[in-house]
Amino acid sequence: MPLYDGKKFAQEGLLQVAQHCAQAALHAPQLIGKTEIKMEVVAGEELKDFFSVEDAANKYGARLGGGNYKLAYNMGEPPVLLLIGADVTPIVEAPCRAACPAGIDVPRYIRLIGDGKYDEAVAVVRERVPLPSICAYVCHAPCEAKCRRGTLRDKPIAIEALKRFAVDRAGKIDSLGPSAEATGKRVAIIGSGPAGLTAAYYLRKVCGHEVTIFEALSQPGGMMRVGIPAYRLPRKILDSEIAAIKEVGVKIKLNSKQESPDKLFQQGYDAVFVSVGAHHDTSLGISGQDLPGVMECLSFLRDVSLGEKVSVGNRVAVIGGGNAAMDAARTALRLGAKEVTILYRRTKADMPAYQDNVEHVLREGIKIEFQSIISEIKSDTEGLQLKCVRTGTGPDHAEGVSPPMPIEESEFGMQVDTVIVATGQSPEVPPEFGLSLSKENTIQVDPETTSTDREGVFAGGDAVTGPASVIEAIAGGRKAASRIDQYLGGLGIIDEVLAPPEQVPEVSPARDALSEAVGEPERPQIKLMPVKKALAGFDKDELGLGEREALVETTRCLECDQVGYDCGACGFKTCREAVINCQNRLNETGGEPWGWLMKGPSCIWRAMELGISVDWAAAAAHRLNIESRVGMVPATAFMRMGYMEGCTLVIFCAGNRQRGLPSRRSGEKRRDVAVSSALDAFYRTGPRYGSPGHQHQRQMVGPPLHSSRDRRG
Amino acid sequence: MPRITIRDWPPYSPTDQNRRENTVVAAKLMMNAALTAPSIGGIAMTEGEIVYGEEEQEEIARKMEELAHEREAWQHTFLYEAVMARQADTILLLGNTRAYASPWKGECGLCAGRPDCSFVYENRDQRAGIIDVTDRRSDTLVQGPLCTAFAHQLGYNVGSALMVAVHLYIDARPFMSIGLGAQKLGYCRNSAIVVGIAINARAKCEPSDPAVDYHLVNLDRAIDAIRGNVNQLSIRPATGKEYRPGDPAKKR
Repeated sequence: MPLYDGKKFAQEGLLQVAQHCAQAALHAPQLIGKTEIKMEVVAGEELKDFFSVEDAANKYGARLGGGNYKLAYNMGEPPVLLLIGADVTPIVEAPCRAACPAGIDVPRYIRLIGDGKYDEAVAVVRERVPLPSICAYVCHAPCEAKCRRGTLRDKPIAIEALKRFAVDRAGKIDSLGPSAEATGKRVAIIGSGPAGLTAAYYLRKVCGHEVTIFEALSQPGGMMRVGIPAYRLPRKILDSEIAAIKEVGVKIKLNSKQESPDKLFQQGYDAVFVSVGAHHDTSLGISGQDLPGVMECLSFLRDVSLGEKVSVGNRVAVIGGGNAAMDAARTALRLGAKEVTILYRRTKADMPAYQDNVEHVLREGIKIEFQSIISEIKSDTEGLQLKCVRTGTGPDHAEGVSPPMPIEESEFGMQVDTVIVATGQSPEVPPEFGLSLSKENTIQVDPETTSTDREGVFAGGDAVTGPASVIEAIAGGRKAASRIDQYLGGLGIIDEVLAPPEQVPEVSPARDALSEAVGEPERPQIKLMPVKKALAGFDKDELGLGEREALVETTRCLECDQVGYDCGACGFKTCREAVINCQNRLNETGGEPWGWLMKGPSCIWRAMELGISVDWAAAAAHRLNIESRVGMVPATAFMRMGYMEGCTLVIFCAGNRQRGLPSRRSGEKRRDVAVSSALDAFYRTGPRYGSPGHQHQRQMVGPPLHSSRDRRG
Repeated sequence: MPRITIRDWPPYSPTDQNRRENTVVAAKLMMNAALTAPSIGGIAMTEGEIVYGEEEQEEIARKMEELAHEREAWQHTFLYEAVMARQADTILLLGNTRAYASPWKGECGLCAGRPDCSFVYENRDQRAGIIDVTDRRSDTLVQGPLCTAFAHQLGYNVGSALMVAVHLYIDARPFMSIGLGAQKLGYCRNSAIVVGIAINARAKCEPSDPAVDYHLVNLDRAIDAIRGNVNQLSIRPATGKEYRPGDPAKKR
């Protein structure tokens, strides 16, 4: 009895060969450096797919010449396949789009704004986010942080301001289009925050399920309604967005606090999405925290937002450094406080609040005491006496963030009338839900499927991530909608095409505006309402961009979604034309390949760059004395069968065993093919006229080829 | 009468010459590897040329610089890569002869048209499927549309050539710009698309690690500038202000 089966041992070794080949592919020299190689290894049980290549070819209407196909099929049974592919379309993933949690096509909507097509620009945003206006008003713009212009020598494009400009200028949409046909499935959503509304929109409109949102409060919107003050998100905007969601057929039941998903299942719902948000304030944990005049931040903001009567004293202290603390401080000012101080335990650089939010706070005259913690609250005749102490940076921490350490003999006191505690928020999930929770009280889900440990119960938004941004909650809602649809038997496809096909404009308002501008365009300063006027009410204090300003700003976009050489090799004069053509085709086909199995138009250089990587992978196998073969045709069938998602061109390298060396065994066949191809090149005068496949093709695609410029008519 | 050219600073010294001639040997081996790369359908469609010599490389570099100023989109890249073409020890050009005139007919759908190569045919002057290759007019850098599958094939050729360079421990980097510049000058004239590989055998591989604004700040220019400074030291007033602007990058 041998110690180990030698053949099996060798076969397993081929996996290492594939790994070596993959390494080589990744380390291949780059030609233009704009092709992201993706690889998958197919081995073992999955290899049975290899034999279904023929089935796939027939099923999907492949009309390859017999020689080519047999070449693929005669390769025998390769033990390991390494699929190497890439998206070789002229559309490059721009860093701003990659940074957006919801994947909004930023360069496309900036282009449309530059063309003066504001409705279309908003439609592009709406393709990924059903709450475009809200997104335009409150998004913290992770896209701007990654803007390539910003990472070079300049300031980033004012993407957020441009989005708001488009939203403000766009006309009201009469209809969002028809909803999908009803599937008969019912989904209950607990919570009407951004995650819940987003999931509801896609599940109803795109997937066709009946959706009901159960909201515990008297008004819908979740944290957008009760956590974000009106001076950041005007209620008119919020209401119109929620009305649009209702318009597609989503029902919202207010004042309907749910105690458990069980009752919903009993009512006939097939799935439940829990998006209850993070509405529970973390307590301060010091003496005096329950004294009159000490408020919890979210309760304070909620009461103000819902129109309850809330009064604060002249002197207010806000504890915390997050966005909730900033909002509470600014709200207190608007309620009549004369002096507001924020106490934060770390430095300004460590503040979790968004930078622009902090700038607004400072602009409005709010004082921030950095590196200060509060140790005790006492009540006296003059109000509340705060005992505070200064902190310093502690020793290095394993996680990289050093805990603030109190500095001896640095105590100081503060006399205030009101204390607002904003030291953190967490979800409040009733135990009756029966869901596993983390120690931060967030719901534990499978990150891939968003499913909880209860059958049919999914979760997303702040309830899963803890307090996060609106756009992250929207992204969570999108993902959950897709997975819930899959759970209910759908395909999980929630992408929409709402913007009309893009066209290269004959007149560019942006270029016109730029020609009239003086000097090099610079990032515009966002105009703000005077402080006195801003503090007099809850109106939005950022005034937005003017039209000329916005149009000029669009010209600063580097259009990173294009390869950008304008070389003309693909057949279009500019990369922009190619991108527009490609985007329109992707929209027409819903992302499905056209043609045999691949997607065009392709960037010639990106296709070539992929070729270099494939060649290096094959050469790596060759160096190890392993027979390998490169094949395009069967690889595309794998692509059609669901492998290599996102790629438009896939090639494989097959490692083979001794008996079935592909190049030797199929050598004869290969020569035949080579000769027939050569003859084809010499004697045929065009595509395969006369072949059955070609006749079929002509029927499918319309008039015969070459007719338009054939001088013989 | 032949031209008589005199330069007082020849970068082509005898030792340089020896090194460059060695890289020609490497380029020949690389070209062999390119020819044996996997090919679509086993059809021969690779064309190669080795460019070697001061005048020849200078011509390509100048053509690239000329192209650079035609369009902003490729200006920066073409300018600094032109220096690399000039400084390379040898340039290997590889092209694909079929991408323009006889597309694959593999019904692949990789180009912008229907899966029957009609996009290529409809954008060409042709009779009965035979494309008129004599019409070489183009208002773009490359006369498109080309067959994407065959362009992909050129990637295999380039990859194989580069792999040989790795085995020979020769520095090599592929450039679209060098290929396009050379193509405009008539190199690889049967090819629809050409890639240039700059081959170097120097201690510092500049093509792999170029400085910012390499067309201005490169070794040759730097040496030349130092020589200029040395000459001027004696005649320039000691208190005089440096009349040249500094680093162009900072200026921006």
